[in-house]
Amino acid sequence: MSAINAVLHIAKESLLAQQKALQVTGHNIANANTEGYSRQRVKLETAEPVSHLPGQLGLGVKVAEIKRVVDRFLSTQINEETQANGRYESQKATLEKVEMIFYGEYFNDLFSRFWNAWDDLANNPTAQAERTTLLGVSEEVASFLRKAYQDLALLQKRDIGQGMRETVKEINRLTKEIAQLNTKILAGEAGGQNANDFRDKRDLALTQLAQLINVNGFEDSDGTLVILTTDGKTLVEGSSSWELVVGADKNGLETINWQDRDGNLYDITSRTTGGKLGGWIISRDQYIASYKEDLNTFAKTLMDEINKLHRTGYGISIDPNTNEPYTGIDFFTGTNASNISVNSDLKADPGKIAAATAKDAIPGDNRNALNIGALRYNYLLNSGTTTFDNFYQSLISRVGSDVKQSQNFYSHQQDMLTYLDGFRESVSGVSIDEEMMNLLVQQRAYQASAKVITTVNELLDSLLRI
Amino acid sequence: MRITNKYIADSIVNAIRKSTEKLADIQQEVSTGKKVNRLSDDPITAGRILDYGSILKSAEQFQRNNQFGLSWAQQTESTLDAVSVILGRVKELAVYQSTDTANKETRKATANEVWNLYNELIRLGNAKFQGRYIFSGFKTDVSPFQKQPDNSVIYNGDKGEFQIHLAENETITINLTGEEVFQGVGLPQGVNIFNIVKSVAEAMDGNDRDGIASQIEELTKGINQVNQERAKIGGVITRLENTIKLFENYKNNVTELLSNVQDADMADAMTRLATQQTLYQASLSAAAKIMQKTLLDFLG
Repeated sequence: MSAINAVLHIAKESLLAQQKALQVTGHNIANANTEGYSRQRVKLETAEPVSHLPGQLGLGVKVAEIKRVVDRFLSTQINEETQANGRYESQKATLEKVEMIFYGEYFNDLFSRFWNAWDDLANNPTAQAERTTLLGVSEEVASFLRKAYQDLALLQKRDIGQGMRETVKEINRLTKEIAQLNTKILAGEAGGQNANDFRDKRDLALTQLAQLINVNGFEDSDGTLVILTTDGKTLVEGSSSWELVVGADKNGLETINWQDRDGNLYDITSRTTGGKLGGWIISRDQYIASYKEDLNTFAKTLMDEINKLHRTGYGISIDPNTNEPYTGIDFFTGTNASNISVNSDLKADPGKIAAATAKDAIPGDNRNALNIGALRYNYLLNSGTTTFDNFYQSLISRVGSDVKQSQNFYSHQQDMLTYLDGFRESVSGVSIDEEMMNLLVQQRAYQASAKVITTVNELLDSLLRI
Repeated sequence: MRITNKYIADSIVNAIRKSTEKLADIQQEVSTGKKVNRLSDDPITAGRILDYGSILKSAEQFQRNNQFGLSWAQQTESTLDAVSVILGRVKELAVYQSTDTANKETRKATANEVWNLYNELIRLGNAKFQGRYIFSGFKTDVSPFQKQPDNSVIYNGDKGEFQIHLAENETITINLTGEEVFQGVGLPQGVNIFNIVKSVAEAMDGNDRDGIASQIEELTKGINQVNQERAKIGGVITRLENTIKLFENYKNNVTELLSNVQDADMADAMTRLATQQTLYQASLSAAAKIMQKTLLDFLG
């Protein structure tokens, strides 16, 4: 090849290469604030040289590839931490709502007033006012227990149920998106290039998915992403995605199911322990369920113990059928915290409250009221090791420490993610300063290449003028 | 490490967010004056606060029980004081009327006074506290002593022991039954005070000098009996008064403990608030300085 034309060729190729580099720099700057974007670099290399005497002659530059700068190991770690982050985010939010239910000293005060009312009745078993007060405060206790229980049930059914449904929709959208991106990446990389932007989008979608549910993702040899649930059910493979479906268990609470191509459902609820979905399920089935159980134990023991004594005692009102004081009446009715209530019989006639132990000792007999009042200090719960007060207080403390633990875990995960995101940003983020430098360097190279063309042009001019 | 503009921006936003959170926490502590504003602030302390709250509330109830018992017992005590005075007077009259200086007329006249004292005694036996008969056991709605046509007195009450909660798992009987105090039922060598006074009055009516004299010894026994019962109720009063004092101290102690775990240390909180404010302002001004410049600013 004639040398002078070769120089023109080199200059032309250089112009094109620098222009490509400039385009990439522009792309980087344009996406400096795009979520999930990884900065791209133009890899320039020398063109194939020609052998020539006295030595090889270079034939200029060519663009070898445009690749994104990523640390793949870092992405995997970010996804793992994101799953934990999602879990504690929803767990924290849910338990903070539980905390509101038990907030304050209201029930503690109320419960003290309840026992005090029994003592007041013992001090004055003949009076109507003490009886009416006792009934009022007892109904308040019952209604607090009912409300707390219902609020917990509502949290399980409404707040968490809704969250789960929306999350499953979002998960299905993301797996579909990832399957579509798989197709695009496969097509884009068929010619050996890098599908940089699609890969960024797919990475972002996977991180978003990890925020919602615990999954395993790995890249197949053809560059497509495979996503499995922890049960090994396939969510994405190649260009296909499988859906999750919300069902209901025997209590009407939401279940998460994986659906195969024949429409068969596989319940994966209990294995869903990560992401927002996992946080909700754990809050619902472990934390809130155990608080409800405690409330039930509390209400049931309270009812049983008081009724047991109350049934044996006597009121001051006379039963016209037997001509004797009323006896054998339950103080509370109901079976657990959801339906505990003061016996409406007593509300109709407070004289039926059995403050007396012996039927011939009314109206001054206060022994039954004394005995019931003394239940406050008896160890009646946790197989005879705990009083009512302590049982409730330890429930409260447990709620508090569960919330605190979730908050701590969440803030730890946040810190961890901030740190990892910082790392990612450090590797893949766009630095404006750096891009400005690249811009300058590439601009100069472009100008210099243009100068080479001008120079060759002048050379040719002088040649033609000969 | 390679630092990008977004990295700097993210770090600043993060630092400011954390700083604001801490500031809000301290502000809440200062404005409510309480260390624990949510269960999760300090679950153990939150539990302890509730525990102290319950202890205080039950201590207040014990105070109320004991005050009630004290009033009841004091009413009993003052009634017994009056009974004792009456018996003393009867004895004084009996001693005088059993001497030779007395005669049929003086005895007749004195008999009137003794009958009056007898009625007064029955009235005292039917003493009430807040509308309840204090000497009729559990039959608080029935007057315990009723005078019969033959002037004798029968007891309508029962043996009920009226108890109150003195303290946790502790009760105390605060009543004396009329049949014990006035009729000596259940006491070793108990005497029936009504019968004695009635005999004195009848003997005076009948100008029976020996009959009067024979009751003087009995009257002494009666006075002793009432004084012993009075001592019994005195013991109850002392115990109640001591318990009330004890609970007063106890309540003060628990209130102080509660305040220790619950109330914010204001000096400390204010200092932390000031420190946090300084930190917050520092991160804001640092942000303002760092975010200003990029290479762009220096390129023509």
